[in-house]
Amino acid sequence: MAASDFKVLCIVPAYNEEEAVVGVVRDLRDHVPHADVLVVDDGSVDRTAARAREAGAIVCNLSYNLGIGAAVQTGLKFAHTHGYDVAIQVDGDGQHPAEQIHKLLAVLRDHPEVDMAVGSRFLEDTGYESPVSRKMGIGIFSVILSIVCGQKLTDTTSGFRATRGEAIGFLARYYPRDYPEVEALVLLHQARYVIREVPTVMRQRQGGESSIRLFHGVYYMIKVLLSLLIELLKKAKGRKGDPTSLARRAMD
Amino acid sequence: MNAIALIGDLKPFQVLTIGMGLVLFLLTFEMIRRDLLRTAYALLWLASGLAVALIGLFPDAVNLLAKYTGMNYQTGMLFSVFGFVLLLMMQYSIIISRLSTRNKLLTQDVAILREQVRRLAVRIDSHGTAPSDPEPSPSRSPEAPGKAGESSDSR
Repeated sequence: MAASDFKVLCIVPAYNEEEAVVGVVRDLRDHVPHADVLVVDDGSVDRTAARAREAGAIVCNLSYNLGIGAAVQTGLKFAHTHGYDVAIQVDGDGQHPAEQIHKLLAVLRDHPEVDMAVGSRFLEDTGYESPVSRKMGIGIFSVILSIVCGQKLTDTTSGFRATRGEAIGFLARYYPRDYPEVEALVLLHQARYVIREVPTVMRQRQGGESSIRLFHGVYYMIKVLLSLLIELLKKAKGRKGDPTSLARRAMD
Repeated sequence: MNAIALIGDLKPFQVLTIGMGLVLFLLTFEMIRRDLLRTAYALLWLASGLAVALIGLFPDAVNLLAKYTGMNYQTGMLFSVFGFVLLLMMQYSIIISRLSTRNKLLTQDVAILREQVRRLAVRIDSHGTAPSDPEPSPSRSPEAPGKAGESSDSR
């Protein structure tokens, strides 16, 4: 199956990104012409939705700001509802170059057992520079997640991901709300879905600031680790290949 | 009569406590009757009204608790009240968490449906008629969040 045979949805969560969103949508339409682009407007107060629609994206408007986790989950629900084969999550701030998407799709094409391909900045030296404190935080997450999931994971906070098939339905139901990137990996692993990292080149964040700010870094890490610990103590949310697991209800 | 004798024996603080309990009980009852409060959430209040009245009637029960735990009467009362308030607050936290989750589910569904409606409206505008083959064809209808009936109002 060629990568272009997949019915692909690119999910772009965007909150007040009227400047960047047009470029992101155009980029995606140029580099992944066979994919549909869905911008999830997370209660923006600027013209994000209108701009995205002008640029040719499908737009879902959330009535108020729900946060990145719920925005991405909206996209996954959309993908699940409309029967897309692959859902690709791309940040709305231009951090993830569209020309790298083919790498994620290639992994899904060549490895039918893989449920989620995660773009990693650190798997190979891609020249991505980040402050020392960020590096440390990322390193600690990487070590813990690698132990928990029993496989080497280098970029656990990467929001550049391609999910396919049943895993889309699973995440559409259970996508974590508060610290979604890291927790989603654990959830998928616990439900026996297969994750594989792919080396990708990412741009330095263009303007704006990361949701993980330097000053709040340590506090953020403690919160994520705590919620991770609780996640590990929760009952597993079903199994890959077990349709009844999707029938159960999620609390978060 | 025995009951009158009992009332005559009540100390003022007992009358006050019993009165408070009964007022709480009747107030809760009235709120349920006026549809301001759902019965499911009011049971704890009704029970607490009764409990307060019973404590007023039998202060020895608290004394007994105090004796066995080594606390004095005031500490025992404070302890029970505090525990009860904590329990109530926990119940509210659970309810709020559930509400916020369901709120999120609804907001997401509304966003997806709004987009579908918009697309249909555009197609109707350009064709003058509703499309016979909606596109992209939804492979399944959006699932309704939550089980029907579970959260439905008792009214």
